[in-house]
Amino acid sequence: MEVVMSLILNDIRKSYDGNVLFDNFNIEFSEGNICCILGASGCGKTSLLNIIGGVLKPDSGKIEGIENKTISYIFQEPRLLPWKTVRDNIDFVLSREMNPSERKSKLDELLKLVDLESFADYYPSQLSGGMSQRVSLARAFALPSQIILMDEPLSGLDVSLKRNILNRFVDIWKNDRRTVIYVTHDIDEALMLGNEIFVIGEKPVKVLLHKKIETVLEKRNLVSPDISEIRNNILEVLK
Amino acid sequence: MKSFINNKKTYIILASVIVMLLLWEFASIRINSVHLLPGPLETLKAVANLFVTRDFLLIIWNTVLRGIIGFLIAVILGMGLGIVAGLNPSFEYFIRPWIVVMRSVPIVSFILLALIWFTSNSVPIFIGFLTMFPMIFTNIIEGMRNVDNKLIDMAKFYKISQKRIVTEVYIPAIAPFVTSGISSAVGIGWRAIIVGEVLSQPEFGIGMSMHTAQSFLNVDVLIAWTFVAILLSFLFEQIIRFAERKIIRWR
Repeated sequence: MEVVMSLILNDIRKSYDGNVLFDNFNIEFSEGNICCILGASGCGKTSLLNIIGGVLKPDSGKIEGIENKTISYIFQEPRLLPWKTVRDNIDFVLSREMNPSERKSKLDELLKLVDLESFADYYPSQLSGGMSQRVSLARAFALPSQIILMDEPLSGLDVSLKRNILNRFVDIWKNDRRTVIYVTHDIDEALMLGNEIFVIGEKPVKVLLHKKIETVLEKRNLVSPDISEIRNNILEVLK
Repeated sequence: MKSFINNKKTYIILASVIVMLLLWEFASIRINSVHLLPGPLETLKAVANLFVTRDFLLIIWNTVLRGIIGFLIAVILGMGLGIVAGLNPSFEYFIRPWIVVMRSVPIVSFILLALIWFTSNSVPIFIGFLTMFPMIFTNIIEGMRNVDNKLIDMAKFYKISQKRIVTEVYIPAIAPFVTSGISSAVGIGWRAIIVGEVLSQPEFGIGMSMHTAQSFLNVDVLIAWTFVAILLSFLFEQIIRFAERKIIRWR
């Protein structure tokens, strides 16, 4: 039987300039799930991702299930290096120990995955916003990571582009079902994508609501009664 | 329309040069002494004569070599220290007074001191370095301040080594600042090196040749060497611009 290793944050405390952001904060993300974190702007969602990613050190508390795991990131802005081509931007995160032919075939595969093969030699300044975000998607999937952290990666994109990138993301995710922690303030995005939804808020930050969605992603319908009920629960908590 | 404007621009520049030459010719006729102010034609002859002078290439090569050595030391130290200072604010505070001294002490004070301390061959290199280094260093500090922190965070998130962050994120990010710093530093550096040569009088060098011409009242030769210096400066500026276009083609 496969052992499910969750990612657990235990009794986390973090304060900024005397303001306590997290105190006695606990959350558990199941492995292989897309876990969406919803919350109002400035409620501490990004800080939570930074703590999980190890960029922000908590004052106290423990993070379990992250030891020796590789983490990938998709940020709100694509954060591509302007002086590197699309191909080199993805290559940037690949291990330097990979041999050149292995590396090349990995890059070709990723470029194909995000449908950017013919733009491999373009610089970021020559790409549209949606294309740049697809490069950042490919970069995140380039690493053999067990966890992917996503910080509102679709904000600022129009609806059709959002859908296009989300579908692409789900297609890639289904191949290896990595644990995804997806921060967003868009309820529909969370309902479309998440297997688990956490609503966080208040100061210090608490988990205000935790819901699991059993319906598989392909069959999910935003107007179905079960999803509508979850939406109403979320709205009530966020009120 | 664009070509019309470009043509107009060319005509105006051409007219300006012609007026300058006419004024020069007029002044030369008025003064009526080849020893004090030769006209453009006499000067052109002097330039042509320079090309067949025995040591012409040796003189130019010595000045260029001094320029390149001073330039390389300034670039290597300016970039190295600039990057370290950009990464480490304490180091920037430490080195700031040195830069202030280099920028505010009159260059002639340095030259006079260098004449006591160094050989005549190294004085121009030292002076070239002193003028170029602060400009390159300051531009690099400015570039380091402008590096997008989000890109650095991205690299750190992906656990990229500090060495690769410096070579693949910081250095390309500051490249436009480096090239603009180098471009202005080289313009001033040439002049400083030639002044250094005039005062230190090495065996060969454009500055030394200008000094000799001045001593013998060969004004035409003096102006001819000035032309050579301008030509060299122009040539190096073109090389830098070419390199700049190659380095920051991603823009």
